[in-house]
Parts: sequence; structure tokens; C-alpha cells
Amino acid sequence: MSEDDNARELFERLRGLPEPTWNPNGAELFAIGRRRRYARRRATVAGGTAAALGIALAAITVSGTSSSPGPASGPPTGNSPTGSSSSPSAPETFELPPTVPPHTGDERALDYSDTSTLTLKAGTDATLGELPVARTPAEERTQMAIFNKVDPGLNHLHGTSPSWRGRTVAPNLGADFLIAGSISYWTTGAVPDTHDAVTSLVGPAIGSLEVDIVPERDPDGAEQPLGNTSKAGAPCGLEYAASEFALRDGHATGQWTQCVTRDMPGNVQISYAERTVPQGHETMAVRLARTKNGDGAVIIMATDFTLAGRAKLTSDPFTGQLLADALAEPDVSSSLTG
Amino acid sequence: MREPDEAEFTAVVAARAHSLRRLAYLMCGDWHRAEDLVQNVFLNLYRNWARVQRRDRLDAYLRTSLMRAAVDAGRHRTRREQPFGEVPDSPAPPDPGCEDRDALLAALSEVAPGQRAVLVLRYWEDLSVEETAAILGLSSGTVKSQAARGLTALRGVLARPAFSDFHDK
Repeated sequence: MSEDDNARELFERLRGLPEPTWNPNGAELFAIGRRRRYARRRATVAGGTAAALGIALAAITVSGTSSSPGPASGPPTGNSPTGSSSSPSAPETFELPPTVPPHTGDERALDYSDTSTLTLKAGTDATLGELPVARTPAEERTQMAIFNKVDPGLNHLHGTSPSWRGRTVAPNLGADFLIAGSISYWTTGAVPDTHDAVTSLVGPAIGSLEVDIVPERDPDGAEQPLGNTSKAGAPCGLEYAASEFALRDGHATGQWTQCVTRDMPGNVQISYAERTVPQGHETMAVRLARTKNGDGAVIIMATDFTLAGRAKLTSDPFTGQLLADALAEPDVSSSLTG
Repeated sequence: MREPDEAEFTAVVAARAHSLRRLAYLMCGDWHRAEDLVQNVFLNLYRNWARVQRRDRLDAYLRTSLMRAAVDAGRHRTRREQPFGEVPDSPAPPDPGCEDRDALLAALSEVAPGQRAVLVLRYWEDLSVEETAAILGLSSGTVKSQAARGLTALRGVLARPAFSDFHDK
């Protein structure tokens, strides 16, 4: 008997492996894939960097793997000054050190973020992997500006695990990397079950605040603008956001309010819409920037959905007006570099 | 670029998810992580749908995407994937005669991820050296050498006293 035959015989003993029940939801995966596709197209490869869902895309892959809810110590109180800046000596690597020092002071909110990552290696099929939370200085400024505006005392934002620490990286990581992403924040302080049918993959199915940064430049060639205002049934015509919301309520029956829009200098438009559905209330705000490189956007989606068996939120702290004001902050940008 | 049709996509998921999960489980030894890997593979598929369909290489793509992700995951244990320690794995049906299988799975988990991938594709999936090489992006020679080293490593683990029961059978 050859070595190969011996090996096959060895592996035959693995046949008949008992398997736990699993019902993969193809429709859900389809919806997530659709949403990620839009985000990824606009991820920047800047001397190679960015952030996104597959990366997660935007981060939507929110899998709570910790059994300990929230950070070890409470969030800071009081207003935090806007605009944390990154260290110029930020590491240019994704290697995760044995322990990542936590943020301090104003950057504390970033510890509550969850970003997944997608690694694209030149000339190969994309492989979805998960790397340490990483963000560029520009991305960090945008996130902090939003957090400081919508929840300056961090009364609503809670992390998923104290072991997930954000880390800022320099924007010159090399052309092989595409990091695009968004961040999800739990607003209830509850940690979802690791493999909740919804939350393990889709993201928050309970109260949430999610920030997606969709950079202007598209390495693959943009095929559809983010702001498709002719899209019926989507908040402010933004199909990107609509698909995400639809995932959460399963049946998008609620009627969005009329889109409230304001124009900003530099071909920037800020819009928001809200709606009430049987599960709760949801709000979407978008800062859409039209540049010669294409459309870029920062999208905030907030929900106060309540699923069966979960504690109901007392109120939705994130109004459309508040989110729109946050998007008008000077540090907010869809650029992931600089 | 053509987007997948939902019915078509969900049919692909339904038809292939479980076999891919078994493959992922052999690579990572955890049913939950295996499910995450498989779900991510289908999300990759969505993005590459047109290319994959055009080349009529759906199964090859799925296996390639899964195995590369599994190898990467094995090499880069991230915070997100930190094991729970004493928390047991997902519940599986009782299987009184599974000692042999458990021992082999435990031994396999100690083989380096790259070698493990070669072993799983060659001897579980029963793929040829060339097919395995294509999926993992390796040369045929590397597949052969990795297979040999992987088997040596696997047998080395099984030769430990802790696995003596396995050898008795």
C-alpha cells in the first residue's frame, strides 16, 4: 500500500463526523453581499489603505466573541474635545502585538469600535480574513468627530469586548492591502450571542450606531453612484443604507420620512431620513461628497430595534438632525488618508 | 458586472454550505468558526460572482476561497478569534464510537495550517496533487513535499502516549 493510500485510509476514519445543526441563510448572505459590494467598490487603495466592510466591511461582521460585556471600566463622562489626532509614529503594520495598549482620554470611544478587515493580495482572489482593528488617522478623526457630537459622554456607546482595542495605523501600508470598513457600535451595552442567527454576521440587531466610511476613489471602477436619488423606498434614495436596514427588520414596511437635505461647501450634501417600523425606530444620515474622483460618503445608521427576548431601549438617542449635525463637523471626511 | 440573482445565489448556498463547513471544520476544529469561514466565502462569492460564473469554476472558487481563508485564519489568530478556553464547542449529536475520530482531529489540529490544508485536500477531499496545488496556489512539488511533511507531523503527534488508544486500533 502506498503512502497516499495509507493516508487516505487514515482520513477515512474522519468520515461520518457528527455535525451540529446549521441552517445557513442564503437570502441573508445575499443581502449582506449586496451591501458590501457597494462599499468595497469605493474603498481606497492609497499607497494602499482604507477601511471597509469586508473588511469588513464595513464592518458588518460583528461577531461578539467575548463573554464579558463591555469594557472593564466605565466610559468617561463629560464632553470630550473634538478631533483626536494620531501619532506620527503610528506603526505601519497589521501585526498584532501581544497586548495592544488601550486608548486613553479622548480616544476612548475608539475602543468600542469593531472593524473587520479584508486582505487583498495583488493578483489573487480576495481572501476574507480578519485582522486586528486598524484605522487610518483620517478615519479616526472622522469617527471621533462623530462620536463627540452624538454621544460626548459615551452614555450610549458600549463596546463588545474589552479585548478588542482599536489601533491607528499609518496610511502607507502597501498596495496589497485594501482596508475598507465601517464600524458598529452597540448602544445597549448588551453583548450579542456569539452566533446569534442575525448578529454574528449581519451586525447589530439591537440598538446600534454604525458609521460607514465610503472613500471617494474606487480601485475597481465605480459602477453605481452612492446617491441614487431615484431609488424608490430607500432613505434619501440611498440604496446602500436601505439594504442594510432591510436586513435588520426583515421586512422593510415602514415609510421613510421625506429626505431632509442641506448643501455644504465643496459639493457636499448632508441628508437624513427616519422611519418607524414594528421593531422600533431607525435613522439614516449621509454626507455625500462629489469629487472628480467619484462619490464618497460617510453614512451613519442608527436603530433602536428590539428583538424578542431583548431589553427594550428607553429611547432612541440619535435623531436625524443630530446625526446630520455630526456629519457637518469639519473633521468629518470620506477620505481615509491624510 | 452582473450581480447574482438571489434565487440562484441562495441555491448555491443551500447546495454547498454543509460540505464546505465540514471542510472548514477539519481546518479549524471548531464548528462555529467553520460556519463563519463558510459564510465569508459566500460573501466573497457574491462579489466575484460574474467572474466565477464566467469561468464555470464555482466549486473550485469556493474551495479555494475557503482553504486560503482557513489557512490565513490558522496563521493569524486574532482577537476576534480568541478561543474560549474551557467553554465547550457547539453541541453535536452524541457519538459513542468517536474516540478514534477525535484523536485524529486533535492530532490534525497540531499540524501546521499550510500542511493541514494539503492533507485535507489530498486525503479528505481526495483531490489530485495538481488540483490541490491550484487551490492553494502552490507548485505541485510543494504540495508533495508539504503532504509528506504533514503526514510525518501527523503521525508524530499520533505517536505520543496521549494517542496510544488510536494506535491500538
